[in-house]
Amino acid sequence: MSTAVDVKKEDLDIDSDLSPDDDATSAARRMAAVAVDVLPAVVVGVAGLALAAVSNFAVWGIAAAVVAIGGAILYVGWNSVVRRRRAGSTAGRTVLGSALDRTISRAERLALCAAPVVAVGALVAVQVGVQRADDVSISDARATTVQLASDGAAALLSYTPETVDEDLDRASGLLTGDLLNSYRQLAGDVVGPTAKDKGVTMQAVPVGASVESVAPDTARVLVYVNQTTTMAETPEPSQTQNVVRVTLSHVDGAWLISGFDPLF
Amino acid sequence: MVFGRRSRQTARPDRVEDLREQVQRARAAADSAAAAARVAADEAETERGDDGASALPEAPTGRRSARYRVVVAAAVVACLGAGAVAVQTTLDHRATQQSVDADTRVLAFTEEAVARLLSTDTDNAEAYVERVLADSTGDWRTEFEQRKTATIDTMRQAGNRTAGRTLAAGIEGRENETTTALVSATAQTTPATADPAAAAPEPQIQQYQIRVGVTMVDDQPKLSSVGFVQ
Repeated sequence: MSTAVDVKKEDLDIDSDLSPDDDATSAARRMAAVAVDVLPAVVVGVAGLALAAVSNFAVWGIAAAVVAIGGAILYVGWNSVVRRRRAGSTAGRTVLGSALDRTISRAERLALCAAPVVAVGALVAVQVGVQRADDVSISDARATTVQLASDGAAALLSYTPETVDEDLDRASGLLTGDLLNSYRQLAGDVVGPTAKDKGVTMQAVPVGASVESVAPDTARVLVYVNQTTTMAETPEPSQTQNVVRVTLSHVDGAWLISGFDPLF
Repeated sequence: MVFGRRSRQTARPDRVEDLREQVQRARAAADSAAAAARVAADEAETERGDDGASALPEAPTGRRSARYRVVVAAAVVACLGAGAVAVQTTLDHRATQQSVDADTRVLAFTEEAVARLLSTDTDNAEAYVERVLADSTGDWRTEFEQRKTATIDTMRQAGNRTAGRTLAAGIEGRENETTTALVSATAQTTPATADPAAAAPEPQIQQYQIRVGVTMVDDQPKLSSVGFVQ
């Protein structure tokens, strides 16, 4: 009984589709069929191209683009030549029911929907995962490294004769790589003994910091430091202004100072 | 029933012909109705055939194609949504890149402009002032223009030349249209000697820690403030 009702509805639909203007409707249907044949392939191809551009034409991006564009071209070719010869109509005409054959498999019909979604989804995933992540990490790096370089410069250049060992030891916690070794050596052999012997007090105040260059894993910051040096022998403290180029490296999720070079 | 039987009995002699006639008419009507139905059915069949829906033998197709239409619509919506996100991400990324490029440009200009600012020549004081003014805008330009005459006088009296050199420059921050940069520079002073045969005088090097504001004017970077880092 329900079958009969369905059939009637279907018949009514077809009637209402055809009755207003046969030519217009069939033209629209033909266009829709072409859209089904071409659009998924175009979307996949464009997404592949965009992926290559997003990757800055890295090898993996180009490979993805070749697979996507090649696949799209192959499908369009197969659909419009092989299938039409074998089944008499393209996927578009079959899906829209404008051809008599029902030769299109369920898997292919779903693939026609899924392939563009997967391609555009992959593009967005790469954009958000690579491009945006880089942008965000650069802007984070900018803020973090300026603060860290200023604090680091102050820590590395400030000590009193009584606490020089602890001061320099604490400061060395901010360092990494070769700089850490040479700083430890300098602190132990020269700075520490001199500070104790001559009663040297150094106080460094950062008065400005600017970013020379920044990347997700490395940054160069210029730190302007006003230094006050007091020695036991000379009662007058001496003031100097210094500029230090601080190089920072992103090591295991943390920024550490890997270069410390006074400009003058 | 009783009445019927009775009436049949009474009507029988002359009504038989009438009855026969009625039966014949009814048969003819039934035949033509059947024929019409057959034609209608044929027509319906050809229509369906033309359209290719062939819905009659496969009744569930309607429901299946409705479901497929939903899948297609979902795919289209997903593609459009993802496409919108892709466009937005691209625009964001481009904006970030543009600000990085702008910083690079500001730094390159700052290095040159500060070097020019520190390069004076006792013999070409006016040209120096013009060069500096060409690099300037806003408050700094007004300030420098006011001191113009004094600067030229001082430079002429100084009787020396300085060669400015930028050692390093970095971006401190950006507020509205103005980027602040910190610059380390040196000026090497050479006294102008009247006698070329005399021994070359010892040059003096002066260090400068400068903070400048750079503002874009007609897409050209200009110094809008110059001061020392204290």
